[in-house]
Amino acid sequence: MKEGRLQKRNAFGNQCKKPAGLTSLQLLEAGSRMNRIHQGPVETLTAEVQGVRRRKNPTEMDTVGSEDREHTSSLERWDKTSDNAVEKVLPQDPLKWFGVLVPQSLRQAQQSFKQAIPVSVELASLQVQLHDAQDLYSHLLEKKQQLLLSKNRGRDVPSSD
Amino acid sequence: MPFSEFTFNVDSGYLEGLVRGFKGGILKRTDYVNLVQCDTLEDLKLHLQSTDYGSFLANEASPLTVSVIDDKLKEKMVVEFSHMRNHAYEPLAGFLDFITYSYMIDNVILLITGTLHQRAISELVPKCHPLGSFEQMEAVNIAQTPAELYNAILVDTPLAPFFQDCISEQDLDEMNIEIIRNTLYKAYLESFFNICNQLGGTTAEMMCPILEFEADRRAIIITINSFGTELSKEDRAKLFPRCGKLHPEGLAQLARADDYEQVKNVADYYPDYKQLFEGVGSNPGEKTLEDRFFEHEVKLNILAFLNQFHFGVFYSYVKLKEQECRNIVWIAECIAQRHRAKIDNYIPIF
Repeated sequence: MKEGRLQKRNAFGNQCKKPAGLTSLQLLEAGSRMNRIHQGPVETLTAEVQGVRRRKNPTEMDTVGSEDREHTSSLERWDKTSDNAVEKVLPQDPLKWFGVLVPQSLRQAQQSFKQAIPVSVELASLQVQLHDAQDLYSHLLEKKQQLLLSKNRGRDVPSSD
Repeated sequence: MPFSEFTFNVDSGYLEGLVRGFKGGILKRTDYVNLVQCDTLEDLKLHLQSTDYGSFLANEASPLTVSVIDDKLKEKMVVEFSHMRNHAYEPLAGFLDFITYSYMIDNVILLITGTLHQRAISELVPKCHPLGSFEQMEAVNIAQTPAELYNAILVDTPLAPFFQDCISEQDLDEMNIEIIRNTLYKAYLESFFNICNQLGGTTAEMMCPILEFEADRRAIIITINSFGTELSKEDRAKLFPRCGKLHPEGLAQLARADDYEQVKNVADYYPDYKQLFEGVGSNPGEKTLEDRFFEHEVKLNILAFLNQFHFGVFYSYVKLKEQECRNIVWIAECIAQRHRAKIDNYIPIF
């Protein structure tokens, strides 16, 4: 019956596929122009990152900066209406689709999948952080070049007198 | 009846010859080696053409999917079985009908579950196993409780005697449906065992070990799968079929078991089952317990063909064809999903 086929499929669930973001992370490392990352500027980015995290988990309420307050209020309204729907949907364990007495390998597959989700979320947010840090670094590098150029021009002018 | 071999061929000789011919067409190891090397499902179809299956997929629209292959494989087996059933006299006819009752139980449970989740009956009937079809299938969605279901519909089907233990006024929900399924199967297995014993002779000699193993395997699997669910130990004990080697002490111990280690200790008292538990794990490269059970079942079913003039060959043929179908579907899934790491996990038969 169908159960036989499903049982066999469980083996695939145990090996999680590489998230797509991993390949672009590797590209970042290979093509990196930065040697050092300043810790300071990165912290201001975490507010945006938290914004990313919040959009993925609408039920968590973090207090953030004023520009994000509009975000939160609209999210709150959406949450209140969808909370009831979410509460009804959440207790339905997909494992029940396969009956009550399911093989242990299917349970293990579900556990492995649950463990893989926070890992992939963390990877995505780390990737965003790295990207922002890289942008900031290149921006600051340009600024430094400009400052150096204008400083040299300033030094040249008196010497031409 | 002594010397029943002398009169067996009068009624069932043609059919035994036919089933042995079908058995000769079951895929061998070399066929599986060829199938495993296929890269696409079209290759698989080509290789299957050179076996007994012939061009059974010739009229299917491309692209080929694994579910289409599965359905066609089943259809071929059902055609062969129906031919044999149509030509059978009693008592072989009753025996063959008994083989179909397990598929009927699966179909009834599928229909009830589908109705519970508000699926249309026209969607569910094509998903039923064709060997287990009965006339009242379309009417199953009318009932709301098991009692109503029984009184209105199932009392006219051959499954009626199996419902003695599981009529209850509780509403149908997932837990109860599972309990109904396993109670029905228990009643079915025990009465199949009694019928084989009544038939006596070589049939009893060949069928009873197979059915005992089936009963014990179900008891062990139910126990292991019930860890972590809301099934209580008393309820669990009521689901164990009692026609196996584990009855009564093994079943009592299984009913008390709390984790996998305790189940393993119970199985250690029985040398056949102790062997099956060795080397079992869920790491890649190790077989699961269900795989070991399937292997043992295949071994027992092959033994049935070594003896003549008994009905066990028909049961074993159906089970071996089912295993072959599972093997081909496993290989086809590995190919279709391009995940070939475990493609060798099929169970070779001959």
